[in-house]
This record gives sequence, structure tokens and C-alpha cells, in this order.
Amino acid sequence: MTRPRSSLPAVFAVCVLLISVGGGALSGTTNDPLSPASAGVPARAPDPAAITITRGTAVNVPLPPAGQVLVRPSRTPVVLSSELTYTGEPVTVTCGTCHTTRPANLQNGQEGRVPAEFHQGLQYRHGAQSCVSCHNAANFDTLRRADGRAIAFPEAKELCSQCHGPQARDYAAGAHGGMQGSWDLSKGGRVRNTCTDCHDPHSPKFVQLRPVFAPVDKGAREQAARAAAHAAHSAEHGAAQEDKSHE
Amino acid sequence: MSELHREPETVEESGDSGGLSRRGMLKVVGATLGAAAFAKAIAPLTTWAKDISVDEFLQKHYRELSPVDMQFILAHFEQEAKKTYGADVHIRDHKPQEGVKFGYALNLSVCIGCRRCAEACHKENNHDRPSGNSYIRVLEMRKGSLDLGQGNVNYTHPVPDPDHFYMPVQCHQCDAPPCVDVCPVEATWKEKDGIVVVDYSWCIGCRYCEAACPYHARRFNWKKPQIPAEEINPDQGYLSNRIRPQGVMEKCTFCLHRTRDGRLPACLEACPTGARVFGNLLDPKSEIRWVLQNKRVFVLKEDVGTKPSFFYFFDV
Ligand code: HEC
Ligand code: HEC
Ligand code: HEC
Ligand code: HEC
Repeated sequence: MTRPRSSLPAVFAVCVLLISVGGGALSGTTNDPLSPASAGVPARAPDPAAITITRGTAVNVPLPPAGQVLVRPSRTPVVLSSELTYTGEPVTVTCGTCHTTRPANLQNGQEGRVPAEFHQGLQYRHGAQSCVSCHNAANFDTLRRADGRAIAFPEAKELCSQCHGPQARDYAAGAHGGMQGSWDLSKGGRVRNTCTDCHDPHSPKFVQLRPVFAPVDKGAREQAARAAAHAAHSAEHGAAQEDKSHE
Repeated sequence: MSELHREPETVEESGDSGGLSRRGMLKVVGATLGAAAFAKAIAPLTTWAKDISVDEFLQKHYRELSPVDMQFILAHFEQEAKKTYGADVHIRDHKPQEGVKFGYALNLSVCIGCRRCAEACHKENNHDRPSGNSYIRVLEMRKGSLDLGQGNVNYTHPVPDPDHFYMPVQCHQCDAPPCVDVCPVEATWKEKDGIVVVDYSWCIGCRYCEAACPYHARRFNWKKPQIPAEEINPDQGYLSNRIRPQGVMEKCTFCLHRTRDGRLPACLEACPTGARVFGNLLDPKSEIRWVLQNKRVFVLKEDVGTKPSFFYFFDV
């Protein structure tokens, strides 16, 4: 449903592209075939409001049948333009759209340097590596293995595992990264989260969360009851006064 | 093995309730009722519940109930949930699985103290809403200390705080459970898969077990639990998350209504950090066994000799 490619350069020229970095918007587009519509195991971070940084990148998947373990695929990023399709969806462009026309800039990423011209807002805190140690300079629609071979975006876990052996080992053993479904695979299937569900590839430190479900201690409960009683009292009072004024 | 640690079958076979009398139970009542219930077995469950008072059935200890008795009781509790809470629930009597002993491990390097486990427990196990009850308490602890007494549960700032680590505590399903030893009426016992259960219909609410637990893992129902009908989890177990009556003890059962069906506990699935590892200690290929073999695990208050099935570890 996207408009013809020819209209895109104009869009870029006026710089009206919305970048997708850090946004949850993408998981709602029709571009993500596995995304929200498909029922099943919900994506991580069920209440994004409580999270200081919301990526909204995790993908909903169905719980597989008994005996099977499904690793949630990581998402394939696209860039949204401000143009809309006839159905009101933003026109999306692939990474290669621009990157096939320009050579990779090897400086980006080093010493925390981020592109100045585009992808503003990208928070980069992941060591001193160049962007193209993960992104494939030969094809920006893929990632890059240390030996130069391409890795598809949904398999980003393979990328992370190359440099993070201990966590990759723990993950493979079921001791890092969590899971949903069955402990007993003879009775039901299981879904595993993927690395990028929890770690932003550019700022991988796990985000801070606001704790939920504060314990209701006796003191607080009594205080709340007193406050409620007080509120009820003043409301009554206020209402009474209002009644009078009506008379 | 003391009488308290008898396997469930031995108790059923003996049929001798001498040691199990409670509330002045009469042995003869139980015997007569067994036959009466059997005669009724051809009638639909719903009609039984109308003519036989469930109190008479509840004069029997869980481990003496025949399958027919149990069907009757479950149907009764389902009707009661409908009547008092307006909820359509399904209660089952989940049995331990052969060759399974449950173990749980928690990675303290990964847990960030967000309390989503405690919240999931609250919902899954049909806890009283106003008191915010949960089988899990999350302690905020100073880095470098393991003194539980210093743990703070009332933090509200964003987590993790860099000077602290977070330690969720729930029932450790001990192999030498002091809570079971002190129960004067055998209303709590350890099952074959390691879960320490409470028969809420047998408990007299003396709270000795609460005092005996070194992990403060047991809770008392001070009031009749209040839960809006639409929030009640209808998937219930007799020994786990059925709505408890007022005045009885309750505790974490590793969600046996889920785990005895092969599913993961609610607190594990809710954890956004992946800090929790659950599985069968008797299966050498299980995730939990991998953790025990490859991480330096420890248990809380090892010196009290409770032999927990709940382990903690740090990544090194
Ligand atoms: C509208 C054009 C455009 C699109 C679409 C685009 N980029 Fe870029 N990208 C740029 C520009 C401009 C730079 C900055 C180059 C520089 O600093 O020299 C850049 C830089 C980068 C860099 C740093 C390495 C380098 O060569 O500078 C990476 C990595 C990157 N983009 C990845 C992506 C990915 C992944 C996508 C798809 C989600 C994408 N880009 C889509 C324009 C684009
Ligand atoms: C550790 C590997 C790694 C490094 C280093 C890295 N990226 Fe990425 N990047 C990824 C992965 C994986 C994705 C896939 C998107 C996702 O999972 O959120 C991605 C996605 C992107 C996107 C699309 C963003 C989005 O959320 O839609 C852009 C733009 C991008 N990277 C730019 C950069 C730039 C610029 C740098 C250097 C400053 C860089 N990347 C460094 C792994 C990396
Ligand atoms: C090319 C090697 C490489 C790849 C690929 C890589 N990382 Fe890293 N990662 C590093 C290095 C180096 C550090 C240490 C950075 C530092 O100390 O600041 C690091 C640090 C981390 C940290 C700790 C961050 C912190 O601040 O505590 C996490 C989490 C992490 N990476 C996750 C990932 C994930 C997820 C991926 C895949 C998307 C990934 N890494 C891919 C090299 C890599
Ligand atoms: C369910 C969420 C989750 C998933 C999935 C997950 N991690 Fe983690 N990971 C965490 C948390 C939480 C921590 C501890 C907090 C932190 O240091 O960021 C952590 C820690 C790490 C660290 C060490 C950070 C440090 O400070 O030393 C690395 C590296 C890492 N993870 C890599 C991975 C890789 C690689 C994968 C995929 C194979 C993965 N993680 C999957 C949640 C997750």
C-alpha cells in the first residue's frame, strides 16, 4: 500500500522523516507481520508506562505446541516517513533505501560518536565499537557477524552471543532471559525472550523500572482510611454548602 | 520418619483418623458419609451439594477423602464461589507428578526489585485485594550484606538503586519444614513433589506455623478475602489458590495448580528480567539442575537446617 518510491527523495529533502529510534510506534505498524494482532504470549514489558525508556520492540508470538521452544524473533527496524498511505499508515522505508547510496561511515560509533545528520536521538552506550561492527556495511538491511557474513535482524541474538559468551551460555541453559509457557516440555510449549526484548542494542544496560505493587502496611492503610474519611467529610461539607446556596 | 512426614498413601490406606481428629470429629460420621456419598455418585454433582451438608465431608482430613468425596467438595466450593463472589471458577485437586521434585533458583545479579512477581502472585493466587497480600516479599538490601533483618520492603524509588540489590523471598518448600512440625492438627504437610501444602478446610488458624517459619513465608487470613468477581482467577486448586476462608493460614505452593500441569509459576512468567529459574530437581537435564551445577548457589539461613528447595545465586 506504500506510495511509489519516486516520491521519497522529496520527503528526505524537507527532512520530515520521523525516526523510529526509541519509539514503540513501530510495533503497531502493519509492517511487522508477527506483531500485535497475533494473539499468544504477549511481548515483554506489559506496562510500558512504568518504564523510563520504552522501546516497545518485543514481538507477540503464539505459544508453540508441546515439546517446542520458540525464541521470540527480534524486530526488523524500518524508518517511518511522515507520508501516509491511503489507509493512514505511515509510509515506511528500509535501511537500504539510503545506505545503498552512501558509503558506511566507520567513525560512527567510535568513542560514542553518533551520526549527526540523521538518526538523531539515538543513545549509544555500548562500548567503543563502530556502528558497522554490528550493522552490515555491505547491506544495511542486515546485521554483520564477526566473520563478515550477514545475520538477519530477527536473529539478532546470534550477533549478541558472539561477544557475550557467558550470557549466551546461561541463556542457552535457560538461566538468563526468562521464558513463558511450560517447564515440562512434554506437556506444553515454551517461548523464550530474545536479547533485544530486554537490552536495547545501543544502550544495553537494563532500564530502570518503577516498582509496582507497593506493600500495604498497616500504618499506610490507616493513614489512607483517615484521608478518605477526611475527603468524604469535606465533600459532604462542600455538598451541604452547595445545597444551601441553591436554596 | 515421624508420623508428620508420612506419605499421603499410607494415611489413606490406614483409614485411621485417630490422630487426625479435629473440632471433635466423630469417626462414625465420616464412615457413614462415605457410603452415603457413594450412593449419590450416580446423581449429578449439583444435586448432591443441595442435600448433603459439606461440613460433614470436611470432617475428614484431605488425605482420607475418597475421589468421590473430593468431587463433592470441589463442586461445593465452586458453588460457594458463585454464591459469595459471583464468579464461575473451576477447582481441581492437582496431584504430585511421579518423578518430580520442584526446585526454584533466583539470580540476585539480575533481579532489579520491580515487584512484578509479587503482583503476579497476588492476582494468580486470589489474594485479598485491600490488604495487598502476596506470598512474595521483595527485600531491598545493602550491597555486601545478607542480613535479612536490614531488608526494606517499602521502597518506591525507581529500581535498581545502584547501592542495593533485591531479594524476593517466598516459601522455600523446605525438606525439613519447621512449619509442618509445629502444626497441632496436621493441616499442613509436605507432598511428594516437595510442595508444603495447607488444607484450608482443616487448618484451625492457630498460627504456630507462621511463627515457626524462619523466612516469614506464611500468611494468615485475618478477614474473608475481598476480590471483585471479574478479577478472580477461575483456574483453581484445592491445595493452592482456591479462595481461602477467613481465619486460616496460607502460603506459596509454587503455583501447584499450574506447575503440576507442567506450566511455569506465575511469578516466573511475570519477571521482566529473567531472574527466576524453575524446574524438576530430579531431572539431570533441567534448567534448575544446570544452575545448581554451574552457579554458586546458596540458601537462606542455612544454619537453621531447613533444607530449602529455593536457591539464590549471583553471576560471577
Ligand atoms: C533517510 C535516509 C536514511 C535511512 C532510511 C536510514 N539511514 Fe542510517 N544513516 C543515514 C545518514 C544520513 C547517516 C549518517 C552518516 C554519517 O554520519 O556519515 C546514517 C548513519 C547510519 C549508521 C552509522 C554508520 C554510518 O554509515 O554512518 C548506521 C549503523 C545506520 N545509519 C543504520 C541504519 C539502519 C539500521 C536503518 C534502518 C532502520 C537506517 N540507517 C536507515 C541515513 C539513513
Ligand atoms: C551491538 C550491535 C550494534 C551496534 C554496535 C549498533 N547497532 Fe544499531 N542496531 C542493532 C540491532 C540489533 C538493531 C535492530 C533493532 C532492534 O532490535 O531494536 C539496530 C537498529 C538500529 C537502527 C534502527 C533503530 C530502530 O530502533 O528502529 C538504527 C538507526 C541503528 N541501529 C543505528 C546505529 C548506529 C548509528 C550505531 C552506532 C552509533 C549503531 N546502530 C550501533 C545493533 C547494533
Ligand atoms: C562486537 C562485540 C559486541 C557485540 C556484537 C555485542 N556486544 Fe554487548 N558489549 C560489548 C562490550 C565490549 C561491552 C562492554 C561495554 C562497556 O563496558 O561499556 C558490552 C556491554 C554489554 C552489556 C552491559 C551494558 C552495561 O552498561 O552494563 C549488555 C547488557 C550487552 N552488552 C548486551 C548486548 C546485546 C543484547 C547485544 C546484541 C544486540 C550485544 N551486547 C552485542 C560488546 C559487544
Ligand atoms: C528477560 C530479559 C533479558 C533477556 C531476554 C536477556 N537479558 Fe541480559 N540481562 C538482563 C538483566 C536484567 C541483566 C542484569 C542487569 C544489567 O546489568 O543490565 C542482564 C545482564 C546481561 C549482561 C551483563 C551486564 C553486566 O552488567 O555485566 C549481558 C552481557 C547480557 N545480559 C547479555 C544478554 C544476551 C547476549 C542475551 C541474549 C542471549 C540476553 N542478555 C538476554 C535481562 C535480560
